[in-house]
Amino acid sequence: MSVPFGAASLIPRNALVWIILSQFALLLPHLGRLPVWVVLVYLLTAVWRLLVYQGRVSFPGRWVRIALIGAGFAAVFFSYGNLLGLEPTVALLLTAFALKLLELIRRKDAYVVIFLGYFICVTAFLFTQDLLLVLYSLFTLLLVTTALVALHRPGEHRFRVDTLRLPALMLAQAFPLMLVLFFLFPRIGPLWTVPVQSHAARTGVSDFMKPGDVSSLSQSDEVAFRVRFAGDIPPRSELYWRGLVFSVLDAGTWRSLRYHELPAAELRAPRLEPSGPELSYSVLMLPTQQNWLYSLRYARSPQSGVLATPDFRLYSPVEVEDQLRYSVNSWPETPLETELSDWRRRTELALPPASNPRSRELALGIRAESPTDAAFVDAVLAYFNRENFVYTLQPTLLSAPEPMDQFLFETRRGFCEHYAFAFTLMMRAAGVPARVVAGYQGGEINPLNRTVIVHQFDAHAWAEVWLEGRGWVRVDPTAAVSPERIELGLEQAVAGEGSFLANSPLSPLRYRGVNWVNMLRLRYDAWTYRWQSWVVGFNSDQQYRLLQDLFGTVRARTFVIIVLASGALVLLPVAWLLLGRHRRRPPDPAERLYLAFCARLARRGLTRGRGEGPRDFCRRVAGTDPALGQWAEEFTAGFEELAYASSGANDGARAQLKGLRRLLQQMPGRAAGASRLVRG
Amino acid sequence: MGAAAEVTQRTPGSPGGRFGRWLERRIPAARSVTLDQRRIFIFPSLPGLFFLLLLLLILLTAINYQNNMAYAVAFLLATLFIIAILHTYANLAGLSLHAVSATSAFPGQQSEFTLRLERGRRASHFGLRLAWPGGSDTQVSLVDRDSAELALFVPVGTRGWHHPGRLLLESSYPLGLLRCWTWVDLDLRALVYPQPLASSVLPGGSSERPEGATVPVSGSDDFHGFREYRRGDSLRQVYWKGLARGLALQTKHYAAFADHSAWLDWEAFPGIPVEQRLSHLCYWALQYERGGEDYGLRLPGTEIAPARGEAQLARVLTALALFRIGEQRQ
Amino acid sequence: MEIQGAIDSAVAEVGTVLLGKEAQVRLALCCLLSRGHLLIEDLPGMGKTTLSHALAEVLGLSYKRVQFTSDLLPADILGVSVYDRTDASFSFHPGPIFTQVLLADEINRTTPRTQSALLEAMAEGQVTIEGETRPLPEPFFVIATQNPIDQSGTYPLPESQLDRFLMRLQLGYPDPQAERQMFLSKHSGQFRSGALRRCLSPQQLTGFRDAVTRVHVADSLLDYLQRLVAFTRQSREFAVGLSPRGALALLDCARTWAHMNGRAHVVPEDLQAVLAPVAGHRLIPSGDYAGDGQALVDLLQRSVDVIGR
Repeated sequence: MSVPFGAASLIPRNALVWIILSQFALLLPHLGRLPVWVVLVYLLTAVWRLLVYQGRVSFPGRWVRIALIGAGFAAVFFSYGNLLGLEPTVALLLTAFALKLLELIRRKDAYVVIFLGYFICVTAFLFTQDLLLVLYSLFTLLLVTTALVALHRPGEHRFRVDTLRLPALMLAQAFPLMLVLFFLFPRIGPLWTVPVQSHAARTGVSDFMKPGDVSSLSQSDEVAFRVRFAGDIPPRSELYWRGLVFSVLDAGTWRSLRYHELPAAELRAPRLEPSGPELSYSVLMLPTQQNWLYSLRYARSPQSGVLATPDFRLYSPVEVEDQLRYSVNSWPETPLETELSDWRRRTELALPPASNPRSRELALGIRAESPTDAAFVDAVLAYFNRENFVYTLQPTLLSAPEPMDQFLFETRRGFCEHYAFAFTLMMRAAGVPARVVAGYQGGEINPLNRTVIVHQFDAHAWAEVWLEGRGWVRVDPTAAVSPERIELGLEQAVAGEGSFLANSPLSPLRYRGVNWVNMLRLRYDAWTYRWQSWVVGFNSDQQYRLLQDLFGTVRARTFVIIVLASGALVLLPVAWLLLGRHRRRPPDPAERLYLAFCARLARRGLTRGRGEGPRDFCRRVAGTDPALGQWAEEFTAGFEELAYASSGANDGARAQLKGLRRLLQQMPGRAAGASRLVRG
Repeated sequence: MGAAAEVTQRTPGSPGGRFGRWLERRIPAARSVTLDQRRIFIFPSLPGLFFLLLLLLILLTAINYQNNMAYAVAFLLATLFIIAILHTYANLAGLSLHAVSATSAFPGQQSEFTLRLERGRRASHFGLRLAWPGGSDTQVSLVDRDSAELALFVPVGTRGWHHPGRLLLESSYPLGLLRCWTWVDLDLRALVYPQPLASSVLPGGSSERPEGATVPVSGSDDFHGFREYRRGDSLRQVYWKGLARGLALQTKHYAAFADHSAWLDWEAFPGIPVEQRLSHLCYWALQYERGGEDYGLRLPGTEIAPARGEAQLARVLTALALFRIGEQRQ
Repeated sequence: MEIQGAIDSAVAEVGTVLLGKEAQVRLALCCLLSRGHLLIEDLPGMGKTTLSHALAEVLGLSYKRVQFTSDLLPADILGVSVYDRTDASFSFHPGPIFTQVLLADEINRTTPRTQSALLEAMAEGQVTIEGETRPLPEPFFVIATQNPIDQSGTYPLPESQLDRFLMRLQLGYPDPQAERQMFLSKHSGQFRSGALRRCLSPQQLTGFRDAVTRVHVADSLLDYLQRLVAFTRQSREFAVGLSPRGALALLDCARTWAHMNGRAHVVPEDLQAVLAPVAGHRLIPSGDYAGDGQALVDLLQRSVDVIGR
């Protein structure tokens, strides 16, 4: 069909449908973050545009459009309180994206919508770069590109699914070169500061703790971080991931020391002489929006940007907003701080005056019976073990003004933080320096890629006491109450109670018992680990190492050559596929054989003309050289049978081909007599 | 008038100057052209330039947010752009254009140029736009068919051969980000008749030679129709077959128009400039044709015997159009 | 093979009245057996009429001849409805077209109007007269003749209409030996109806068609056909390439030819045998090619390789 050009600048209906489809697909990843009215705007504009297409209503007038845009801005402002954060910006973009549908008339409007669509696809990654989202975004990119292709097929007035084919092919062709660019493009630091997620929840362990905090965290099956050990993975009962140290008990809440509370002499982290076996591992941490990092005890990191604290933790000077990968060396047997400063001793013994009097009394009583501090520690643990304390995810709420008295003498049902709290309180009451440590304990070992997956429900609190000559010693009172928690993990520890992930009935972790579900989950986790460490976490260090591994020392010139060569390597096949003059089907084996036959005869001076058919040629051969006649006839008959009489390749044809090949070799030689005759 | 100059016009807008001469060497005129890499040009279109801006924006986002997936999208789209170069090129490559015909026209009218577009190795070609600068343009897709014939209209200038110049064939399929185009000279030309101009002088009439005023009825060969038998009609002309079928007696009636034939004579307009003379002759040829009379043409060196009908008109007008026009490129 | 024998005897039978023209007779037979119409272009007195009449005879088909003149009207061929006084109704008097083999002699002598009436009937296999559609007999062949030399006062068939004829044949002068034999024969060019033996039964005729559809066409052969077609479309010697319909006609005739020669598959030589009569009138040389249609076909056959590379 031939269309006057003016009409061609309109949007084919096929393209319109693809545009609307891709708009909804692009909206989907943002759904959870957006106020409901944005979805309503999408539905409204789509319905409006379809009614326009049906001719029932007309496009909105200019003033209506301006009013709608104004309303959109106002609605975003009222929903978020500002217009500058990442979320309001994205909401604004999405609203504009939907409203643009109402003035989608000419081709240039469609370009605006489609280009905006590409950008909106990118904005989803600013929130998460999850593997599933990336796969989904490939799909949305395909939809947007399909809309672009459909836009250039004039006169298609019906929705056609097969429009997908070409863009899918093009994206597939584009993919390899994208990979090359991805791994080779130099990574540079941010050029200017940009709005970041403002409403993002801070997840994980917080920097204060009161009874009930950790147990609520234990309801989450999210992954906190993953660890990969260079050597063997230590037993899980040794995996105490220290994140925070709480030294101050203040109004029933444990908290860490603030920076300004530290005297100048205590600001620097003491550098210890490591002893005992070394563990080397790397941690891939998911964003927490917090500063502290997790490590096994006595940890050092060779990485810049990972600092050590005076209480032997690691932390990052900037909040972890994106996933962070850091490598750590730990020497678990190194004694921590064998000499305690006066200030430190004072701080780690401080208790609010006259709180929890019964607990203090109990502590002093037990201390009086114990010969040493170490024996006292054991006695308290034995006390927890002996009395009927219950380890539970559903502890009784402590409401009394003296919560630990209530816990130790009345309820006796608690989670790790209760025991850590009570234990530390008793230690301090009896004059033994002690503090609460928060972090994670244990983790799940993925046998598929030998990583330790630490979930939020592995969150844990324990205690450290300072013993003369041994420094800070880890004591886990929870282990005294419920050894299963440490040996087997939370799930086993609370198995009888049925409270494990009680709030997330669909979590795959609940179905660890079902073998294939578990395998699938672990498999996906292994992919995620790779994905997070290799793709999402790909940075200039990794890039440098990759290039060095592949090509040795990288100089600017080699780099350019690598980029160009890989680009050519990827593009040439596509070019050949598209533009090359290749045959419709691979050369027929029979025809190839026949050409060989012709070549042999040509050497005897019998050349087949281009337009000469096999039968005609054979007749000519037989006429000129009777010695070859029979052979040529036999071969021609065989060839004709194969090439023109049989259909397709089958076993019979293969056998015939073989026979023909043999026959070709049996070409009669130049008969001596005949040649003499010719010469004579 | 001595050496006859080639009176042709090129439509303004087609490439001229140095580029035109370069094109002439690179894509010489031919009745049919198959597009290959020598003839196809490609460059980002305006939306394509905006797309590159978008890529820059995504790249900046990736850098500022240190977001690897945003990098990936930027690179995927950049590569898509590169791949699109090949696809856009392939949409045009292999196509062949054939000149079919061009209709004659009077000055100021539009001549209809007919072209045939044939597909190459690819099964389909989409969104091909053809335009003659200054003329009409049209968009066509070759899907599920091997060829398409298209008509393009180009306004013509003064008497003689009109060369419409180079034809623009362009396409930005599939993504619209790149524009692929070519200028082809299809060696088509349209004949432009003289501008008809009324004159009071009637050229010739049935002058000079008494052109058979009456033509014997039996001598004519032109069968015209039947009429009822009248007494005196030759029996040889009776439609016996009809009679045999039971129809009334009829005679075959042969055309025997004995009307006078006029001569359009160059010499009938003494002292009038050449172009004006031709215009008058053209006017009268049209008048006679409309009036249903036979007419002949006498030009210096040319004589066309009296007749009428479309063929005669075409002969006469062609002779007038090409009078003293160099017959180059024929 | 039974059918091959029948074909050979038919060719031989026609050969008794049309001497030395075996190749042309075979091709004409191939055309009719492919259900196509035949155009014979030659000078008068070359045996065009004899050939067509003899073909009808050996195939056992009814035959009529219409001499096309400038005053021939469509009704003269198609027939007319005539008012019948006796039973006060119109009765249809079928024209000569209601036959199985129609010889349209000197088709270019008649007006385009009459030509197109015939061509339309050829294409549709039926005629519509006064709003009533009447089917033509089955099978229905038109053999049209055209005099290529004497063009004055004629209306040559337009090139687009030539496509309606499956084949175009030239008979040409007989070779001296055949001509000599003709001088001596007792027929001396006169041909009487019923003089020839019928060689193909109606069952054989319909069975032949079915058998042709079963003739195998291999991929290699289709490749060759496509190369031929592509050449006509790409090469600059051709103003107009072979249309898809032309290519299909070529394949159809090659199939018939293969079956006539007792083969169950088509070989390149079959395609070449029918190339000139089938493609000759469909190919138009471009302005800068000096040769005629026949030269064009030769060029085509010489230039396209039978075997793909």
